[in-house]
Amino acid sequence: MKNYLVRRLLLILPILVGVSLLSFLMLHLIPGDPARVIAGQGATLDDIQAIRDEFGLDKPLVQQYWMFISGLFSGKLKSISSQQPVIRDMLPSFGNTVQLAGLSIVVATLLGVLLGITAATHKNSWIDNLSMGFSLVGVSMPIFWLGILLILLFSVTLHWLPVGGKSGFASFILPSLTLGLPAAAIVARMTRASMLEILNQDFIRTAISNGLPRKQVVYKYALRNAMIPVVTVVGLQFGYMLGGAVLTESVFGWPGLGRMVVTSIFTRDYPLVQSGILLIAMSFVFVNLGVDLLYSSIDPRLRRK
Amino acid sequence: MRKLWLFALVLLVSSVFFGAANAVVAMNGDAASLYPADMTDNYSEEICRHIYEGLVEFDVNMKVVPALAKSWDISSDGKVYTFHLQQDVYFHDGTLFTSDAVKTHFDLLLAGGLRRSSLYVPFIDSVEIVDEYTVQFNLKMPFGPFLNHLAHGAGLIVSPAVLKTTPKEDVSLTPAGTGPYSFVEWVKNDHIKLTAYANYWRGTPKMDSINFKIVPEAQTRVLMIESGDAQVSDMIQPLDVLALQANPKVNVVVTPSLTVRYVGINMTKKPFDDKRVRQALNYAVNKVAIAKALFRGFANPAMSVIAPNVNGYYETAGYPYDPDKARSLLASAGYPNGFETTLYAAPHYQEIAVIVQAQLQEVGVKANIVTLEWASYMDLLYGNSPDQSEHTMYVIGWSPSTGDADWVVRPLFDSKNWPPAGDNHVGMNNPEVDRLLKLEMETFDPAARAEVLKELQELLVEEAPWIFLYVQDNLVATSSKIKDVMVLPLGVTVLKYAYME
Repeated sequence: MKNYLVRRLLLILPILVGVSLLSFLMLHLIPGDPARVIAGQGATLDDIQAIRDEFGLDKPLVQQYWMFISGLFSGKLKSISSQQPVIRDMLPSFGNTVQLAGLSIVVATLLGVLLGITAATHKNSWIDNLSMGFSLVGVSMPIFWLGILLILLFSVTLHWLPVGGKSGFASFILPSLTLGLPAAAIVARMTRASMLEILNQDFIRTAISNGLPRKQVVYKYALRNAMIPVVTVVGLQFGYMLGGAVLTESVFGWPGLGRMVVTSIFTRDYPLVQSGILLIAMSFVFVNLGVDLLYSSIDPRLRRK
Repeated sequence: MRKLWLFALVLLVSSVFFGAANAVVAMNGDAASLYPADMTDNYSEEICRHIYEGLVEFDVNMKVVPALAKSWDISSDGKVYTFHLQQDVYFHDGTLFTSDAVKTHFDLLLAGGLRRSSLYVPFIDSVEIVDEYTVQFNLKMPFGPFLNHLAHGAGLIVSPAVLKTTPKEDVSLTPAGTGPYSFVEWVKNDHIKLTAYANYWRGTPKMDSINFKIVPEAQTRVLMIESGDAQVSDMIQPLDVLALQANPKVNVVVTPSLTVRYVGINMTKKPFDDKRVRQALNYAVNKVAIAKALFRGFANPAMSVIAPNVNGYYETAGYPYDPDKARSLLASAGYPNGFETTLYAAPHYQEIAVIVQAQLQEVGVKANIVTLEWASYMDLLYGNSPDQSEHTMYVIGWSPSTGDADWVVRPLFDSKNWPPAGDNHVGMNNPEVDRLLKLEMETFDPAARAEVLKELQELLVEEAPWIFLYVQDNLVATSSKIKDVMVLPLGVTVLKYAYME
C-alpha cells in the first residue's frame, strides 16, 4: 500500500512536466503577442518593447520555459497584465473554486446517489421515470439557462439570495446548485445502472431470501458493491469542477480560477495561464489519486492486490 | 423555517446598509492596476478616477475643466504651460499636495518604462517647480491637445510619498490619491472597495462607500439592478434597455460613446487602392439600418473619423445609403460585376460583419468572413506593414482615451504610423493628410485648430479609408435612488458627485 502510494506520487512529476510543456508550447504556438494586447491600441513600439523586455518575451522558447519553471519555484513569476506575483492572484481564486466545487460535489453526490438508489429499487415505476426524467433534463440543461432561471426566481422575484459574487453562505447556494444539479443527474444515472446490476446478483437474492430486511440489503450490501463506478464518476465530476466551472463562475460573478484562466488566455498572459493550467492539472491528478485510495477502502479485496 | 429567518436577517442587514448609502457598481471586468500611469484598460481607469485626480479633468461632455490646478497660463508660443495649484489638498496618506507631487508623478512617466509613458514623452521636455503651488510644463513643441492629455487617466496624480518609496508594480497595492474615495481592499476578480475620504478638498463625499463588483455576464448585471443587489450596472446590452426603462426602480443612462466602429480598408491592396472602390463600398452599406437592427437605435451613423463628443469634431456629409451610386462607382473603377475579397472580424464583431457582407453582396462584392480571436486579430493587423500583410477589409473600432481628435487621426492616418510602429493599418500614405496632421498638432489656438481639423476630417472622409459605420451609445443602468452618476463618453462611470436619495 505504501509502495503503491509512493509510486503514484512519483508518477505525478512526469505528468506535471508534460502538462507544463504542452500548455507552454500550445500557448506560444498560437498567434498573438501579449505585449501588443496588453499595451492596447495606440501603444507605441517603445511601450510594447518595454513589456517584452520586462517579461523576456523576446527570449528563445527554451529560455522562456526555464524562466517559467524557475519563477514558479521561487514564487517570483509575475502576471503580465497585473504585474503582481502569479501566486497572489491565483491562490485565492483557486480557494474560491475549491469551496464552490466542494459544496457542489456534495449536492451532486447526495442528490445523485439518493435518486439513483430510489430509481433502481423502484425500477420501471413512476418514481423511476420521474427521477430519470429529472436526470435527463439535468444533463441537457445548459448551465447558463439554469443559472439565470435560478437568479430570476430566488434573487429577483423572491429576494432571498444574492445575485452574484461571493459573500457569506447565502451566496454559495445558487452557484453550487447550478454546478451541482447537472453533475447530480450524471451520478444518478450511474448509481441506478450500477445498483440494478448488483441487485440482480445471486448474493443479493440469497440475502433477501434469507429474510434480511430489504433496507439493510439495499443500503448496506448492494450500495457498497455498487459504489465503485459511482465514486469514479463523482471523482471525474469533481475534477472537472476544480478545473474551473467557467460558465457558472461567469453567470454568478464567482471569483474562481476558471474565469481567471480564460480571461488571461484572451490577453495572452502566459505566466498566469500556464500556472493556472498546471494547478488545474495537479488538482485533477490528486482527485484521481484520492479516488483510487477510496476504491480500496470501499472494496477491501483491492487492497491485497 | 430557520433559513427563512436567515433570509429575513439578510434583508434587514442589507436595508440598514442602504440607509448608510453604500453603492455597489457591477463592472464587467477586473482592473489590471491601480497605478494610473501604468494601466491601459477602462476598468482600471474607472476605479482610478474615484481614488485620484489630475491637474484637469473631463466633465460629462468631455470638456476639460480645472481640478487640482485652479487655473493655468499658456505662453504665446504655446510651449510653456504654467499651472496654479489648489492649496490645502491632502492625499489619502496625509501628504500635502504641492508642485512636488506633480513633478514626481510626471518625471516618472517621462523617465519611460510605464505603460502610458508614450502619452507624454514625445511632447513634454521637462516639468519645473516654480514655487510650492506653481508648476511649469515645458513642451518640446506647441501641442494642441496638451490639456486633453493631462486629463487622460494617466495624468491622475499619485501621492509622491508612495511613488518615492514603492516599486512601480506595487504602487497599485497602496493607492493614495486626492480623490473623494480612498482605497480599502481589492479581492482579485471579485471586488474593489473604496470608502469616503472625509478630508476631500471639495467637501466630504455624499456616499459612505462604493463597492465595485466584477460581474462579467451582462445578463447578471441586469438582474443585479433589478434585484437591488447593485445600484449601478455598466455596459448594458441594447436588447435589455426597453425592459429596464419600464421598471420604475431603474434608470438607464444613455451617453454617446467616443468609439467609432468601422470597416478598415487596406488601401495598399488592389482593388482598394482606387478611391472610387472605397467610396462605392461606403455607399453600399446602410448604416441607419445597422444602428436600428443591431443596437435598437442606441447607435448613430458615423459622419466623420471621430465621434461627436470628441474635441475637434466636425460633421461631414458622410455617405448616405445609395446602392445605385455604389454600382456605378464600381463600374467606373473597372469592376462592373464587383469582386471577391475577405472581410476579417474579431468574434464580438461577427454580427456586424454578417450584415456588411449581406449589403456588399447587393452591389456584387462578395466578402468572405474570416473570424479571428482578439490576440490573433491584433497580430494580423499589427504584425506587418499593410502592404506586406494579408488583411484586406476588417471590422474594428477606435476610441480616443484623451477625448481629442488628435488621438484618432495621428495614430490612425500618419504615414509614420504604419504597423508595426503604429495604428495606421489602413496603410494611409497621403502627403496632404500628413501636412494637416502636423498642423493640427502644433496649433494650440482652439479656433484655428478647429479649422484645420475640419479640413482634415473632410479630406479623410473623402479618401474613404474606412466603411464608416456607427457611434454606439454607452448604456449604464442605475437604481432610481442614486443621483448624479456621470457616465463619461469614454466608457467610464464616475460616482464622484453621486448621492443616494
